[in-house]
Amino acid sequence: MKTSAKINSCILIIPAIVFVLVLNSGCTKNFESINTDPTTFSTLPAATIPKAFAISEWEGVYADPGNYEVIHSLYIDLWSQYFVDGGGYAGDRYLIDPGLIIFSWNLTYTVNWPSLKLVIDETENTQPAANAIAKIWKVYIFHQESDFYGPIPYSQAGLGLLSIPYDSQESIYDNFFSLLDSATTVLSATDPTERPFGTDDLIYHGDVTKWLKFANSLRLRLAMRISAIDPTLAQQEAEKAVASGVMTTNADNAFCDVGPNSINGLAAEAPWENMRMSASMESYLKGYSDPRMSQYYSPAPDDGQFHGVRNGLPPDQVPLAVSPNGTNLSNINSARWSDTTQAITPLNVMYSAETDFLMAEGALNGWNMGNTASYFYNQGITLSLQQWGITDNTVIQNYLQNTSPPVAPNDYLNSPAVSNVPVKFAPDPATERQQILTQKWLALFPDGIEAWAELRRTGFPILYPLLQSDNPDVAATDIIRRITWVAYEYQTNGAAVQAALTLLGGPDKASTKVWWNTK
Amino acid sequence: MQKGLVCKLPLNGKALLKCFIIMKLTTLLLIFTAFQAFSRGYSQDRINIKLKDVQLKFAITYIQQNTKYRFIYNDDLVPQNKSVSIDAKEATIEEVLNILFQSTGLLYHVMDNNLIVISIKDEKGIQQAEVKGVVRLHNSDGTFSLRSGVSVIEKGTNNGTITNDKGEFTLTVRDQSSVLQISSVGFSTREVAFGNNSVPLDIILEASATEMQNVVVTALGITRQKKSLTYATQTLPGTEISDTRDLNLTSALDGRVAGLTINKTNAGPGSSSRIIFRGNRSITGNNQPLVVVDGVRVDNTANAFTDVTANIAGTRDNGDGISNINPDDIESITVLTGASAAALYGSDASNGAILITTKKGRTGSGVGIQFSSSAMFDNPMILPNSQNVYGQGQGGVFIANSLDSWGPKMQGQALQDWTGKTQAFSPQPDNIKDFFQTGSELINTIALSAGNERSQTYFSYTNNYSTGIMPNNTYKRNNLNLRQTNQLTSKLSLDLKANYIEEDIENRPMAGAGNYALATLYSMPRSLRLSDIKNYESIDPTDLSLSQNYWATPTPNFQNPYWSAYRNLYDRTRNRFLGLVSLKYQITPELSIQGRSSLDYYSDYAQEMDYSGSYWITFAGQGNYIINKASTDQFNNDILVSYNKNLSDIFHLNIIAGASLEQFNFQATNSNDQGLTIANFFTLSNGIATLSTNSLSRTEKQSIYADANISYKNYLFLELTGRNDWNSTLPANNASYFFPSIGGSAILNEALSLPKSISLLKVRASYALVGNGTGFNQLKSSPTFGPGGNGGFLFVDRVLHDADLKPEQTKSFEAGLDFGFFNNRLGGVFTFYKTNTINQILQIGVPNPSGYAFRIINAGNIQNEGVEIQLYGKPVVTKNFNWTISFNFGLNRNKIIYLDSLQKSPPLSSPETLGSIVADEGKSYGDIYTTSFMRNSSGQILVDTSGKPLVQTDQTKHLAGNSNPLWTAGMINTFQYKNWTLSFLIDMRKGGVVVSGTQALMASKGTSELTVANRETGFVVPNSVMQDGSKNTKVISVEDYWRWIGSDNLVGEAFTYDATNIRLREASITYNFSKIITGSFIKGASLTALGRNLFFFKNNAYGFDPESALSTGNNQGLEYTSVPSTRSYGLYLKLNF
Repeated sequence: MKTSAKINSCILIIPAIVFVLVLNSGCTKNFESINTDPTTFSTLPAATIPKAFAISEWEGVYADPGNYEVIHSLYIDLWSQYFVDGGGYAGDRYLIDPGLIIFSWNLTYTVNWPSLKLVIDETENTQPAANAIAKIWKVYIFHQESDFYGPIPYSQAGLGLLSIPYDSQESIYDNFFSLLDSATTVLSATDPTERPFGTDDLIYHGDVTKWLKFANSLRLRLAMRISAIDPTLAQQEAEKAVASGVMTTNADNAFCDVGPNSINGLAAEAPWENMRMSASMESYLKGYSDPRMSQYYSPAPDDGQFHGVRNGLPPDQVPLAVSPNGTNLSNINSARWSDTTQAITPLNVMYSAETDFLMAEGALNGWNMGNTASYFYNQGITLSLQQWGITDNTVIQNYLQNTSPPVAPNDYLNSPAVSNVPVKFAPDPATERQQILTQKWLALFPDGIEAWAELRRTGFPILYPLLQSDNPDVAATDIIRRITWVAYEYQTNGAAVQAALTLLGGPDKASTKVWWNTK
Repeated sequence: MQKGLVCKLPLNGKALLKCFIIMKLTTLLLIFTAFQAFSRGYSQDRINIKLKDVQLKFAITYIQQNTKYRFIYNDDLVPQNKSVSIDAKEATIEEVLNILFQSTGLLYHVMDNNLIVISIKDEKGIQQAEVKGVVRLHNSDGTFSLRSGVSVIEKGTNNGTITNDKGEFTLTVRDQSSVLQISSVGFSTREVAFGNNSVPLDIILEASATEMQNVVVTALGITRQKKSLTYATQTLPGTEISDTRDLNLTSALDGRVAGLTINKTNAGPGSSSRIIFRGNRSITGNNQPLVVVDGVRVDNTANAFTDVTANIAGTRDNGDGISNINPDDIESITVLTGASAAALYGSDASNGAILITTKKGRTGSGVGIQFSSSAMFDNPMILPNSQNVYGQGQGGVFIANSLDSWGPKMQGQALQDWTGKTQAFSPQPDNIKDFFQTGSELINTIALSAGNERSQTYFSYTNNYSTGIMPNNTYKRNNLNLRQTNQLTSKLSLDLKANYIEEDIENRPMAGAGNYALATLYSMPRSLRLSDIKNYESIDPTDLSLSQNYWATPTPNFQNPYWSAYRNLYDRTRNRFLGLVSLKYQITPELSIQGRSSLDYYSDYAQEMDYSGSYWITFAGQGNYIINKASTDQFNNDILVSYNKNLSDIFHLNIIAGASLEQFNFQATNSNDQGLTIANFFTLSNGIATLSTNSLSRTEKQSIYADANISYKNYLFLELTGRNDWNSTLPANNASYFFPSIGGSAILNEALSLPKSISLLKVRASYALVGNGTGFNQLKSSPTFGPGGNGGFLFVDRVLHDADLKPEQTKSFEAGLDFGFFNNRLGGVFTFYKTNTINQILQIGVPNPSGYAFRIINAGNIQNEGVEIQLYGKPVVTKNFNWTISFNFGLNRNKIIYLDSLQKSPPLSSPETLGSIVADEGKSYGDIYTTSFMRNSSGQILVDTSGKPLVQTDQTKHLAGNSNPLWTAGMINTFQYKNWTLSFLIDMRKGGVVVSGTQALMASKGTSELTVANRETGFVVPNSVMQDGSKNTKVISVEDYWRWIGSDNLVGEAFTYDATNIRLREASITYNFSKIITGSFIKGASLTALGRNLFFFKNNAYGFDPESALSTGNNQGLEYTSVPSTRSYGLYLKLNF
């Protein structure tokens, strides 16, 4: 009896607990803390701002392997003819998959820009140098984005609006120059020992002097880009850039740090072994006996020699062009870019060599660049060779004096040499311009984005036409002119895209030229 | 007594709660043990009792409360004013009763099961009549069983007894005009006139599965007379569930429940299924019903789910909750298809609920043992259609390392192939079929059941051992189930349950593009020998390193399928505990209070091991290793007060009021070594850059609710419910929301005088409003931090949040008719419903330049309306032959009436190459848009100068169709002849589309049968025209054409299939040995041969099962390299001891 009563009471505790619980929980004051995720930030500590800048740099150069693939490897590095897709991927035939291209669009607008905007907003009145650097970086990521598409959402982007107007490329470029003005003004006045962002700045570790040169070099790049559409502004901005001090030595080069958790996307892509040397590259590099060939590519396993293949390879010709496992072709240099170096090899952002080629072209244009076209041309080549480890002055001088033209790649199509222009700087300005741009193309490797932009602007270097185009709007003999606006924008931002057609000045096709592209 | 106890509590509630949570697992087990000792203590035969001048009735109650004995008697018999005294020590019950019943004129009869029947002496001191009999239960599967606990009551009195385990009873009744009422749950009640029978009665009770059952379990475990319900429910007896012999009990619902749609992931044994009642209500949220087992909410999330917000790349199906439940333990399943039925459950049940009742221990002497064993074997039900004419190569030329079948005709020519051997170039027609192995499902269950009137125990153990049809895929599950029900005193009862589940899955295949094995298998050249491919790796003798043998240039998406199966390993173990403690105290006959605590806790441990040589690994290093650990617990407490009162002779009132607290916690840790340093040594410390992350989610909901049910003359019913929730997921000012329901029903055949042939005619209607919260942490921007760069990265939140979210609301109306004719030989249920979900909380796509990928909004008015019909009939009922037939039909129409003021057709995901799912205002949920052929105004396909079709890549331009069926139907026929029972189930889905990525892949690789026609001649695209309107005469090669529309510029339109299908879902034949073996120690035995998913009568999809799903998420209607559906067949033996 007694025992049972005791046990009964023990068991009755449970509904009692329930009862008390229910009464006790009449209040809901804990709801806010229950509904807060401690693994995320509710408010952002100041220390997180440099981390936001870091990701905008790393993602801004498409370093994530998936992003690198969808913008560089599947499209732009093929269109710039640095590589050929050895599997016959349709992107090499100017066909753009809307399901893939969305990733780079999405990345720019929902990751890179919001991160950078956060940095700009948070540093606006408190950290002028950091703010200036962030603005320079804004120009960098948006000049690429605008050069891809032409008009893009810019002034109203990242504000949470649900219908975002597109800005004309002209107005975007105007804003670039004024952003660079304000940034360089601040940085010129900044104590050069100040280190904004510290090592969280993956490119220069907060070195304001280098950022200043980077900003001026970027201004020079942008000035040259608009040199045909607005020669006056171009000259004015280019001369301003050079006068303020551009990158001059390889120590000024911009690379983005990588690490085990933020790897080099190009290196991660490389082992997938579809990044074959292009026949255009082969023709130039072999013709020039260019010592950079073995820095850019690996020899073909079959014979230890370098072999490329023509772009626009259709699948039914893959078996003719590519042997089993691609052993007859050169792949990207696996000593530099591979899964074992992906956490070590930094990402290429911008080089001094490019600046010299820009100044060479400026000098040809009659702009005051401070020296002759010939000087800058030779200087650009020299810096590029040195950058890739060719430091023997005899080798460099021999290269500069080389009069050999490109050679025929000796492929299954018996393709002729891609062009006849040699390295040695020619006496006539028309050839000089072609030489400058050809050498710039060789030097920009592996930055297909800038190479493609300059190819569109100038038509140089001369490259092989595609074997086949799958894009009904662009012939195999033509250069693809832009990326068509993403289908998702039509779905979600339809009215703004329709309005942007006027700004584009042509149909939304890959053959329509962007604003600065007059040639 | 209750009050006193609450006061005596020494601790405050919070401390106790803490204590209780800590003891979560052990407490319940301890309580079991304690209680077992307690009931043994009671089994003593001797009684100590001391009472002075108490009412005789009190004395009876006292004995009842403090001993194992219980009394059955008619109130009128026991004198009201009789005062008795007793002082007895160590007395027998007979001695005690002899003292108490002195000079009362009462007789007593102590039965085997400690039941004491009190009756009255007649004047001559002789009982008037004693009736004996046996009750046989006629089960729905045609078998007969003898069971203890069947209630036998003398009509109009409290006098009664129950049967013993042989089905026998003996009852003393007033006189020979008495009528006996015999009833048992799940069987129709019978009344038998006693008459002059001196021979023992032989009474048969018929199973009432398709009839109006007396009692059904409804929301919160409240039992109700079925006739009083104001909404549709459907109850399936446990035998129908377990006899299906599928590891996942949802298979048994398929085709049996009106208005139900099930899609399976086919990810091997025990894989998840997507269950939808009455259409989809939520665009981006959960559309699946709540699952409740004996009042315990079971978390049914399939953890690694892919929702529409993810891409179709597919993820591992980590298994849902319902697939963990052991079908052999199920007593019955009640399906509440509508929100009205589930209104009391609140928000979680706005998609309906599946209430599972498991078995309890039986009452009676001895231990009942059931043993069952089944062996089922699985093969692919359907395989893709492949061609067997052209072999490996491209452009008609053989190429030893090609991925494709665009090579020459296979004519046995000797060619040096990828293995280096020179072999005959001949078709390998079975190389897809032979890759799959015969799967098996071996299930053995032993169940013990024992108990007496006061305490009943049910224990079962089930072992499952299965192998999937994919090589290297195994599944093991052990279920231990202990159920203890106790009548502690006459007023206090206790129900305890502990269910432990251990599940171990090795290498469950992925559904979707992540399934590397099947992407290769379906597309590999038709001339490759499986015997060569089986040799999937080479070992370097010098350093013992592994490399993959593969015939083509490695690419991330394709590798040797055997390598995928044996060198990309995934092992997942789950331990799950379901516990329940429920106490009920009957304060007065009218008033009771019940408290329940339940817990569903499970932890998953998964490891992925990828050997060095797997091409798709993007990490550096010699292989890769990932560990995932996750635990989920759902802890619910509720209290329920029930008041039951006859207001007068004609009005009856039943009020239930309650409160509950529900807490949900999930936490997970993921460790990824991002590449191994030492090859294939799978441990985290061997990682190149091991990265660990953790995540969590937690929600709490507090609720109060009430339900009032008023009946008039037991044929008119009115039910009102109300519930208020406080939900932690909503902002403070919107966290509290109230929702009511109202319903009524009338049993017209009782209310009116209708022709005798109408045995049932009931009309009912109900309206409910159900609220819902949202997910964890949805109200504010939540940036995160992670490794990267030189000191970490800050990751911005890409979702635009609304800090002022309101609760979702579903308004649901339903009306229906239940009818039965000719003593219920023919009958049915008809229901019409309409639901509108408003203020829906959606995560929709926004233009990316906004700075965000998605935003969360309150929007929409999604309407579902439809009908559900169930019909049943017994065309033949004779002594030896019975035929029963049942039919169900469900039709749902969905319409997105209103979505958002700004976005009228927001995409629910980024566009996929295969197709995108868009919620379009004015259209239906589940619409799929795909890429398409460009056509002129007269519908002709436009081609470019090379004769290739121009492709419209803007997916907004072509609506491929809707993934949901127009209607579904199922029909079950059961024939029973003597001891034989034959049963089969046919079901049908009409309408809906599936876009098949597999077919596109196979077409582009030249392995599909579609690619044979015109292979050598090429063709002009039919019904095509040049862009300038001139006639297209350009011949295009078959290879160029299919590669173009199947891969390079995938045309979803060309690979869209009608999902209509009719299949033989189940067929079985059973022989019941029970009668043959009468007299042996075996009390019942049956053997069944059965098959599931046997064949299609009709299937409009091309070479795949249109019901297979990529996931249990909302991204339905897209298919990509899914595992084939399986055909199962086997034997099932049941023995009762």
